[in-house]
Amino acid sequence: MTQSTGQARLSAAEVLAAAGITVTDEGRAAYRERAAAARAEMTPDVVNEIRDQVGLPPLDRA
Amino acid sequence: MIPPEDRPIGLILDASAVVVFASGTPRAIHVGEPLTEVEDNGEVLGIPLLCLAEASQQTSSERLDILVASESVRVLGGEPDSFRALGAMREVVGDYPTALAALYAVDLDVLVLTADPDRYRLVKEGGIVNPIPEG
Repeated sequence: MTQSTGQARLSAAEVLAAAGITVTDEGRAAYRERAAAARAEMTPDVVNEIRDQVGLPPLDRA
Repeated sequence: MIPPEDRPIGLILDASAVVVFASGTPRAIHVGEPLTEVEDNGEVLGIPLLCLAEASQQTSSERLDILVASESVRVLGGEPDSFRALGAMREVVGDYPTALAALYAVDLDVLVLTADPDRYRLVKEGGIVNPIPEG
């Protein structure tokens, strides 16, 4: 279900430098907190109810 | 070190997140942060091709090319045997780019980074999204 772009590959640091984005340790920590909170909402039951909603079989997270 | 092509996908970006990255505004940092996180975690960001196409209709920024050139980004085209699920998801969220992002999220069991969480409100009350902060 995935495709490679086949283009020259840049590291994250190179991408951010080229895009003019400066990431800080504090910002990354805040992101991790947001991601953890969101992830806590995405329980196996939530995932499988959505999968059932669109006709997919349950997902075994284990 | 795991080659980028073998790394798991840790997060899906939808079209709105791609547009935020391409915007060059201070808000773009909230896409840069997960980019660095997934790289450090040995993962990659997954971006559905339809989301890139949608974003390209909203911005012509060369930052789109920069993002796609990242070794920590994998462009996701779709799975032939999931076309019915994609159609069903489109009925829930209203458009195909968002539907493909949501479908990958529940297929890979990862969150969708989005600047437009309201689009997912009917997908278990937005339980699969990581909203990008305002400002």
